[in-house]
Amino acid sequence: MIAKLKNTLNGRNAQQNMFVFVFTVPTLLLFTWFVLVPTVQGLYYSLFSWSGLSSNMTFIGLKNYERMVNDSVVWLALWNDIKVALARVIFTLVISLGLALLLARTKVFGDKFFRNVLFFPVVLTAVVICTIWMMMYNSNFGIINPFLELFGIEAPKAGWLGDKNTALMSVVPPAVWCSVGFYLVIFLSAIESIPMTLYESALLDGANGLRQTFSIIIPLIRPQINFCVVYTVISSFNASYMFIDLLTKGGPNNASQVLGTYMTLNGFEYHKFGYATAIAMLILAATATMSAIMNRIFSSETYEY
Amino acid sequence: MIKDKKRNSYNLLSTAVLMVATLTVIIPLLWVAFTSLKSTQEFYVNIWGLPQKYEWKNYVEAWNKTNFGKNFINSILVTIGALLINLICSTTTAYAIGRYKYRGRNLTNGIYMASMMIPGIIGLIPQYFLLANMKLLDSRLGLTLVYGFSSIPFSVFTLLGFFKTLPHELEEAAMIDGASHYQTFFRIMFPLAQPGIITVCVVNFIGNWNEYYKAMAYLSTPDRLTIPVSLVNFISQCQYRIAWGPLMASCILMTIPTILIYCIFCNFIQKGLTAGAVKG
Repeated sequence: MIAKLKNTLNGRNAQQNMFVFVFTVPTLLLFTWFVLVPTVQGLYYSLFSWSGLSSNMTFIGLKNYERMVNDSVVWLALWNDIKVALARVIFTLVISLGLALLLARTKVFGDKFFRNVLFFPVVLTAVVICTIWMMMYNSNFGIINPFLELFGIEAPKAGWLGDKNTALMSVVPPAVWCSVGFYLVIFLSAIESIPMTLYESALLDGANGLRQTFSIIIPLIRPQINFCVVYTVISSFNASYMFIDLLTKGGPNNASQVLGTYMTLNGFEYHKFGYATAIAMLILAATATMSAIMNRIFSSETYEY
Repeated sequence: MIKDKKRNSYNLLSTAVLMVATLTVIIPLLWVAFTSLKSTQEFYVNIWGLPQKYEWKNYVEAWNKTNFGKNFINSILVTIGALLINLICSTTTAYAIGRYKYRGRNLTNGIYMASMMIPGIIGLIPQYFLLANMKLLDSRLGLTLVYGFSSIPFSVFTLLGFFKTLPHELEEAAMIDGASHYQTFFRIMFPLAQPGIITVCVVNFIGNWNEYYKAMAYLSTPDRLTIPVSLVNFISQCQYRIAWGPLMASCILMTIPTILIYCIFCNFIQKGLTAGAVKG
């Protein structure tokens, strides 16, 4: 009896193993082939001097990395990436958190409308976003210059995107513009899930609105703030590549070069694919380091309620 | 009384700030819409206002220029193809990870979760050579495969959340009724995970529809491009004098599917895209 039951169970188990195998292994293999292998392959390619044709591949060990350390543009690009990432983190966090607090803590008519409109740029493509901002930055008819003139700020002669001092930071406003809504929604849903009883007991203890915000809401949404910071940093290396590529092409004279644009320049333009993949490895290392640092600064114990 | 007054003024102030923020989103978009209907001459004279004469020709020109029509179809093919690949792979994987205990489960899950942290730009060049070796460079199929598999981690992560919430009694009941694992999945679990599946579809559709830098690197024949690339080519073609009307018209044409989907699935998109933050 027991043996029979065991047998059917084993049969059931074999069936189940087969089922799990069919459902997971092919996908994992294909994913490995198309996504994981290329990521690791980058490390391998970076040890070669290679013009893209397989016959021209010569092993040069760590020479590409040596060159990278001595290449002043790489350092400039890395620094530019870090600057953009930090600026994006600060502005995105402050604006989206501020707006989320306003939406959640005051009675606003049509709050759903505000939320949905503010989120909309998140679903736009970078190409359209950059085209719009190219128009807005235009020195002949853009909306930005007349607006800034109201405050007495004058645009540089070559335009915001053409001047070597402002070209890099000009990509921050479009990048912030299209990601505020994303974090706004995250913060909003986190704030809305805080139970009312906490506010009520705070009120009994004499805490006013501002005090409630800083002593209840901010500590309770620390995980979301942490996510915002780390995720902005990670996506910044991807996103600043696109925005720079579309708006300034790394110019003028490398002033707004970031690692991503410098990588594709070396790869697809100069056909130095070994060197380009070495730069890709630097991007990976920089992203990991930056997000580890941010995690260290912003992480805290989470509170249960 | 005084407190009420104070509260009211707070509410007004907050509404005003939110209005300003919303206007920074709406004004540029309206400007694009207006500009798309102005002739180039009118644009330089009447920069801000409503178009005096509606120039619908801009849309025709946008559609005919740089193979926009063909590229539009390419975009749809690539987007939908990648979506189907992704859906088949990620629903099955998420179901197995979420509902079964087996050796290697944590490893599989860990691989997908860890690869969400890698910026996509790292694989750009190696993937280029992978496609070249498979003779899939400059092909829509190659791009479809890359898109489909690149977004699997996100989809698995999202669907896992949905599969995990379904009650275990469902499988037990199905098993007692003699359903195989496959029948349980296709007949019972797949339909029940519908909200998750819609979320994954919508988010993937928008992601693939908008993707630009891989398409730019992997496609070169004008007939095979997707529209973001087509748009970039449009801009670089008119180096000296950009035809703003038709350019804005193509921006709008490209955004119409996104707008439609956003209007219908707004909540799914917002929840889906921000799901990752709930757990940190």
